[in-house]
Amino acid sequence: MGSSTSSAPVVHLDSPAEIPPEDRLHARSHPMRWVTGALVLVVLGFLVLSFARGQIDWGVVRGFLTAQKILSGFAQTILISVLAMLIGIALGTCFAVMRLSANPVVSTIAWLYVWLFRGTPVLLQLMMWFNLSLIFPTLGVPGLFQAQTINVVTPFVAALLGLGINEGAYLTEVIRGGILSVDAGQTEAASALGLSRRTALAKVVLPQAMPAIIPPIGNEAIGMLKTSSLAATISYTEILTNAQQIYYVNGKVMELLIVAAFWYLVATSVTSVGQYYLERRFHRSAVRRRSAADQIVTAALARLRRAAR
Amino acid sequence: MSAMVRIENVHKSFGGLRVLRGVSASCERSEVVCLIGRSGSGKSTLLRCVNHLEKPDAGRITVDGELIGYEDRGGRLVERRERDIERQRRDVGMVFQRFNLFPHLTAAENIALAPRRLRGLGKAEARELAVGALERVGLADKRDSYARHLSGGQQQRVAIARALAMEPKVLLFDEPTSALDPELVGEVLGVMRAVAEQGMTMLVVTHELRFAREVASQVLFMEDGVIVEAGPPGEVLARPRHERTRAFVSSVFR
Repeated sequence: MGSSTSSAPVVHLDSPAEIPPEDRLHARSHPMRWVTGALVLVVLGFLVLSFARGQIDWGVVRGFLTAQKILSGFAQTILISVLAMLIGIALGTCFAVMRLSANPVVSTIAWLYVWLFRGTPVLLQLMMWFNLSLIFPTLGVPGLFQAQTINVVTPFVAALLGLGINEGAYLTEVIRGGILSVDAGQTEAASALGLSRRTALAKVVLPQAMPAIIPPIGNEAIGMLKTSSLAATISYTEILTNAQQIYYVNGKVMELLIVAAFWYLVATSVTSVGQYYLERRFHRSAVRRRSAADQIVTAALARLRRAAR
Repeated sequence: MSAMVRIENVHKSFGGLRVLRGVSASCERSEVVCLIGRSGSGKSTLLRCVNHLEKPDAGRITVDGELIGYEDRGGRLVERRERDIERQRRDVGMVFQRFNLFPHLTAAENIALAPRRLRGLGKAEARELAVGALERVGLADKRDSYARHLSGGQQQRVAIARALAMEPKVLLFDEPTSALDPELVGEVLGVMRAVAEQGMTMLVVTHELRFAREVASQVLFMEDGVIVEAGPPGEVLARPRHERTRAFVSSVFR
């Protein structure tokens, strides 16, 4: 620091415009960002061009986009994904709480569940559920009701069990992590008031764990939309199965795959938007840095709302 | 008259570290007892044993004559069921060093939660109770504020109101002003003084020796897991008999 700093007169200004140009401070410029941005655009352009010029019959793509078989397959994909996700969340919450229990029997059961279902491929689990009749030919409560396994565990039920229970194992870890991210002082304060563990969990801990739980659950939901295509192997008819069945007949492989990709992107995009709103809702209390995408979406929505008025 | 809080020969170790080595003390109804001592002397652990947040290894603690955390089963003391411990904790309020307000709830909701769940109050009743409790600590106008919009001193006063709303028999304070900026300490001590004057039985772990001198009826000086010296503040703080008490008091007052 030179002596000139200390002797410089302190001036009080009424508006920033009065700051003399030589005193202004400037943001750093980032020329490399423009270069890399341009590079990305070139690569993108090349890709788009290749697809446009390739041997793809875009008329076929457009035609099958809303074909009855594709749409019903898409509906099946959504149905199985949503239901399996709900099962996963229910199981995940239940086993996460069990995993944190002071009772060693209970926490070991939860540990075993995660170990078993996270440790084997979901494809294998789907096949096992589908072939359950090989181990349990009949299901039911003795004396009450009895049923042939093969009639109960349809491809739909097998896919639901396989995907949902597998998802539950992953979500157990996600939710457990969320619960552990809440300061221990919160549980202590709840205990000191005389609240039961259950009430403390439901009213104090879980609401605060939500910001840590929602983003990974969103990821898992998007993953589920895609993983559900594995159910094709146990003859559950979802969008990819139906696309395959069509191109086996007409030979338009890439066209039908593009159709399926389109619908997957629609579903995952909608899920992302849902995730965005959920996160915003549960972040009300938390101050955190917003991502660039977050800011763009907020700004765009604000503009839309202004335009609508 | 029997003591409100009676602590008899309490021992507690964490791993190999003996934090409490046979502590005995008692506290009459409406009495304010201050626990002082260096950090690590065991005073916070002792306080946390009184509402069974820590389980002592040996000894007995009673509140209003009821044995805390354990029950006599044919001459053996066995830990109580969780539900019983929860019931006992309702009578023992606690105020923490770091406030521990529930950040997703407003001030009034923080206070109303436990009475609603545990005393079967309706939503409106619980809120009325909460606002009343906030009035006692001078923060009725902050009823709908979240903790993040309150200063540390205000947060701690809400925490005191939250504990008071359960109408406990005893109120435990674990270094209630240690996490506060110096200019906010006074308002919290002021509220504590008012609560004491209304006849609340209080056990206070603190470094505020002036508060201890002015409000406490009894001061306990702890070191290495034992009570080295106990007595009225006029004796323990002004004319300590023990060498270690003298060293501590002079290092704090300087």
